[in-house]
Amino acid sequence: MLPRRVIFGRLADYFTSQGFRPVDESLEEGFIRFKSGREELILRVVDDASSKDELLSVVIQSAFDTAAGKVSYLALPVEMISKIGDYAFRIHRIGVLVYDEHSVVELVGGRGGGRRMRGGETALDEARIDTMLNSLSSRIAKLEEAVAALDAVEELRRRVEALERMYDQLLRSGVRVEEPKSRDTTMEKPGEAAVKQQTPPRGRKKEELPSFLQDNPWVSLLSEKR
Amino acid sequence: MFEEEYKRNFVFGCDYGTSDFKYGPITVGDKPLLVENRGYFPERSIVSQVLGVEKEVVVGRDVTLFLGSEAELATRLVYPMRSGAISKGDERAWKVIKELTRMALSEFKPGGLGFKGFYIVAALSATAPRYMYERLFTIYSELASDEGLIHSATIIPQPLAVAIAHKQTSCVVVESGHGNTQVAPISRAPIRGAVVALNRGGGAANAITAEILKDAGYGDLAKEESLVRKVKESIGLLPLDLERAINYARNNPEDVKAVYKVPGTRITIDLGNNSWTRFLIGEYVFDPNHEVFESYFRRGMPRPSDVKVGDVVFYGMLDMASTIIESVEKCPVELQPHLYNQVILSGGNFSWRTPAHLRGIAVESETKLTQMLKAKGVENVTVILSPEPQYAVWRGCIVFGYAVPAGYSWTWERMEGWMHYRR
Repeated sequence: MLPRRVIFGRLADYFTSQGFRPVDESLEEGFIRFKSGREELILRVVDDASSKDELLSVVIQSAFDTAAGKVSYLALPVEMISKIGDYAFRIHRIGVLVYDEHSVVELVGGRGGGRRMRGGETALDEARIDTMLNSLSSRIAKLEEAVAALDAVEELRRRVEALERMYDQLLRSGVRVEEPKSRDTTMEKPGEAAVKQQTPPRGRKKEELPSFLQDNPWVSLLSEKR
Repeated sequence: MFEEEYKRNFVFGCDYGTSDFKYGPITVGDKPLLVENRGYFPERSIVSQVLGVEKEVVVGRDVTLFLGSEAELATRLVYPMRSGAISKGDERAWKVIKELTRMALSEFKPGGLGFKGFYIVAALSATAPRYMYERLFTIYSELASDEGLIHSATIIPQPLAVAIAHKQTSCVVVESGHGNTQVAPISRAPIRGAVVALNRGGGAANAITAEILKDAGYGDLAKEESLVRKVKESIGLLPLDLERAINYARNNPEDVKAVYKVPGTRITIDLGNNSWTRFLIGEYVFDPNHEVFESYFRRGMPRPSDVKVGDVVFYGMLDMASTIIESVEKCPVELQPHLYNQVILSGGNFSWRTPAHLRGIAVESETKLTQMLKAKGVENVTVILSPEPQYAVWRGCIVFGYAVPAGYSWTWERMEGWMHYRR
């Protein structure tokens, strides 16, 4: 198995040769972000060591990026693509690069509609075109359903943000607001009354650090660990 | 970096104390949640399966639903830690630890996308042997791969966590738990070779309280550990000078009269003429060498003995001040004044009542220890009591996890860094 750093280097070279420049990368997170003029492209990398859950997570993240109008690519080992196929990626316009020890190949284009056809494939008869059009219509309908679901999620997100802004404004204006039991549903948990009495409200904002963290000399001391 | 931002939102502290397990993420606030560090192994039967009780071990607040007869408890209720340690081959104890950790992390596992597991910071006794670290990392690895609950993990000594929580970079931490007391000097990092431990903690105070109850005619109640603990917390006193306190009690019996009504029951405990023994409860933790304790040893109460766990000797009869001095004197001379200048007492075992009418007779732990150290020739001592000692270790874990970079990997040579389970 190739070291992750080597894989990253080859993939970066691939897009660099196409006029992109890497602007951010994380081996641990498994991504490289590129830019070319105003175009931004994010490449997420899966390797042989990745679990099914990790693969699924990466695919979902890429689908979200694509749905949000970004250019998103996945890089997979060639053996992996033979197991999972490329159908889903084409539907969701997620670009796919496959790699092995020797080369990197763009299997599905993520910037404008897929792999370029080779010369022999242009001679399609009308019946086949009709079949493909029907198939495409069906896929587009499914895609529209998926986008509608994403829109609904986006709408909910906007509403929550608006509520949070109103809440903050109320606090700033001095209105006493009863703190909800949990503003962050992701951290909600059941608990006994006795425990709740000891526990302050949850879901603090990132910038509201606990008092024991503020002005703590250990923070700078420990952050220097390398 | 995404990784740092992610980590700072998903740092999770776990303080594995002998009595209690304290846990919670950075977002929980200033205090962690707390459950007893114990697990119940229910009888496996068709009925239990029908009722949905299919777990091999039940932990947390659900344990109270299973508490049955005393005989059954002895075999089914497991307290995994003894003096902050778990035996290497005690599989049931390790199952309890795993289930507690799973319960804690699952309670706070967020829904939705983007969660890659918690950055867990665990605290173990400063004297915990290496196999405990190895076993805990194995448990974390299993929870990471099976349920995706953990991204990375690290383990730190409890005294370091206390120093961090108190924002002190040079100090001596005296962490007194149920089973033992650890004295650990810190100077920007734990000075591992200078840790000195006592084989006495809150459990020792419970033991003398049980003897006192027996002598007062409450032998039946003395068997119930949780009741004994409550009696200790309610009537136990720490004398500045034991001789003086006993004399005061004999001359002023009404002032020291100890009566405890067990909440929710008809039981009232009255020590009567033995009320002076309240002072023995606190004294025993700080110094068990007074001759009055000999009578208890002669009548069967086990004398705290020196025990060796791994490479560390836990002293049974060394008094608290001598323990601190022995620890500090293992450090460079230049550092010693700085260490004496900031002695932090942590652990519920240092919280003693000081009734107003007994001022000067019954004192707080800081006063007692300052006096003991001065008597041994140590000047310029500052002893402080952790304001919320039961939470200090967890808070230190959170700060540690927040500050240490995600890319700082675990090494066994340094015994620090992150053990990564996911990229």
